[in-house]
Amino acid sequence: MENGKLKFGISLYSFSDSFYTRELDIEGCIRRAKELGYTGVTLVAAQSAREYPFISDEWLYRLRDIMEKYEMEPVCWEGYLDIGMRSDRDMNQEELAEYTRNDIVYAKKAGFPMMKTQHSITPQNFEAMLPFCEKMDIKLNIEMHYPHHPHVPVWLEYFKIMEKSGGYLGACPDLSIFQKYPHQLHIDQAVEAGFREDKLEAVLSMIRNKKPMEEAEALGLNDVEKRFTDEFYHKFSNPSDIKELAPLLKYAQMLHGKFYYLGEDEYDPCIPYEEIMPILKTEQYGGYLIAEYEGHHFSIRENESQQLERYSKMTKKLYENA
Amino acid sequence: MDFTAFNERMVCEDKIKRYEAEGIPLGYEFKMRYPTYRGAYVCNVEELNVTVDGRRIAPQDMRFGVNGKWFLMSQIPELNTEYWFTGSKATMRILDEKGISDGRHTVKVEMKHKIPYTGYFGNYLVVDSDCEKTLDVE
Repeated sequence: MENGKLKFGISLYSFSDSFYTRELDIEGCIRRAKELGYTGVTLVAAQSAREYPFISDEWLYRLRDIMEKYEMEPVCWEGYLDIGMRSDRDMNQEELAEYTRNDIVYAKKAGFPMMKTQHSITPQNFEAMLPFCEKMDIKLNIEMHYPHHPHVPVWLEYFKIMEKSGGYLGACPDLSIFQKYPHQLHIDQAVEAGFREDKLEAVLSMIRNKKPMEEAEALGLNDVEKRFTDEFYHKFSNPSDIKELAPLLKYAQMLHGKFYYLGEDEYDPCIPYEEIMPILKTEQYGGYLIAEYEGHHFSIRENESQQLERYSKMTKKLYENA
Repeated sequence: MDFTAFNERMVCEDKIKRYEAEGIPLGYEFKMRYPTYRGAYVCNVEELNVTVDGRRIAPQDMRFGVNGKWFLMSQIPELNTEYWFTGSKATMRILDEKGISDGRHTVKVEMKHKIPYTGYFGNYLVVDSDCEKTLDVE
């Protein structure tokens, strides 16, 4: 990634709830993204493209035209590798390569310079995509998403392949790999399910103080409380070291700016943006930070636009002040 | 838990429609949506149970309508080329020669569904979703 100044984009996935209810269509999502001050766009094809997984030129060209109309930079076509799309077996290698090629073609037609795929592509298939990426002049990146992290063995293979690809093959670190504390929507879900207040505070205190989950056995938790404790520990107690971020940036074609909920204080206790943003500045990372609001997995009561506005303010302020 | 906030939208608010042919009652239908942020290959629905007014409907009396086609419950595991698009309404048809009475009826759907990209360390996330609503008959 060329050195420079960070750019602020958005995944239309952030508007999941409004898109699901048809409050916003694709054009509405892009218009809203523009109004919120973002300059680039990604979208999740399996969510946004009605004809998925076989998408017409008409749909792709219309998407390209909408992005042009609102002067939004096409950043990345976000493909999924639905390895488990069948009930009788996992996708085979030939199918996996075919779906990947299709997504690269869709990216090209819609005007995106890159395509995001997922961890399950396998090193063999990832490397084999290089000639097609060169031919199409489309970069291909693998999302590194929690629970994966830079030391998962397959990623060490991926990094070696990326280094030999002339910049065509890379990564998309999702900042969920640094998540270290349950977000408010998950905590609210636990309370609603009946997690007793004193017990909940005891568990959260254990996570804050990096105590092992086994110590929760002494708290006398009921089944619901045990389930949430397990979820909290599984998701939020094993973050990658923030020192891992800078070395990852040389592979990063973009970053997923994951977040779940921001309060009025515009501070994220879950993902340490106060540490992340100065690193992006110091390292002169010149790619896109793509806002990815994911609170809709936990609650559909939040105002997406308000969340995205808070995220924009928080990240820009932390970046400018670093 | 992830993937659960859309559960409450799985049974749509649309009224129950009678399914009949030339005045002969054959059953009734209601609308439902896939309960996550994305679309689904229909075969990723691993279990689908419907209860109406407290009575569990037998699978042989259920038909699933999506993309302008109709399927038996026993065909669902084969449907890896039918994509149930994000937020799109599918139809659950219940065969019942008595039809359905006027008034309000309680409809409950329980679904177990696999998230097909989540096999990070070999195991897919399988989500249990349920939704109950009281609906009028059209």
